Amino acid sequence: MVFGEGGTDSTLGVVDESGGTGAGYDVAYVDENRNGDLTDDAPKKFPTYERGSRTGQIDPRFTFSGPFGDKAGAKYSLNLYALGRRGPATPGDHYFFWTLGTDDWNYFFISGKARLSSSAAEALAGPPIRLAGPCKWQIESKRRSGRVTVSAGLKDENGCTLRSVRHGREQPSPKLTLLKNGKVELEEDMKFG
Amino acid sequence: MVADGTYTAKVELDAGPYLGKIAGEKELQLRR
Repeated sequence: MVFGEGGTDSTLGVVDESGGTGAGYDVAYVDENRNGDLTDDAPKKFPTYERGSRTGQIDPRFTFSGPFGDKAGAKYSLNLYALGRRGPATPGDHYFFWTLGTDDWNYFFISGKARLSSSAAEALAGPPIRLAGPCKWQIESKRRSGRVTVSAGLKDENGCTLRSVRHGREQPSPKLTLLKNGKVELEEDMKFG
Repeated sequence: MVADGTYTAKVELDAGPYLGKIAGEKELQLRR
């Protein structure tokens, strides 16, 4: 996986099965010191659930510091929750969500898909998962029971959708404007979720 | 509430240092 904005300003990370292939993904390595060597970074062992119906199961999340723009020390977290299921993980796509915290802003993205590879060579040959990359709006309308709903999602290049953004205690809202023949017909704040 | 018709939907969010002021637009046919 590649974290950060890409190009030369990126951080490499991998998830691995410390017990060997098929034992279950339980650890991540992130090149936090960005020297191109994952062996001198502390392994990030995934915690296990201590309560509830998932007690004892892996909670496949980890946090790390990484670059963001011209700053170091942005806080990233990644939760590969699809790996927390019982039984060995299968190769292929697995859902994840991730967060970025920088200054007093926090971004929460959901519905990402990570492809698990069976070898480092295969992983490096595939497309990277780039966190904090470019995003685009996807806008659509739906009709149901005589009502029309306009929705918009801000998606990154992994297919993740911005679920919320916070600035301190504030939660900025997207603003929707509907224009007909160039004239504003409606302006409304949208809600996340 | 708006009448049925063709609209240009514009969405904008002032999303801070990561995304900045990010906007998008799409033409939508709104029919009930």
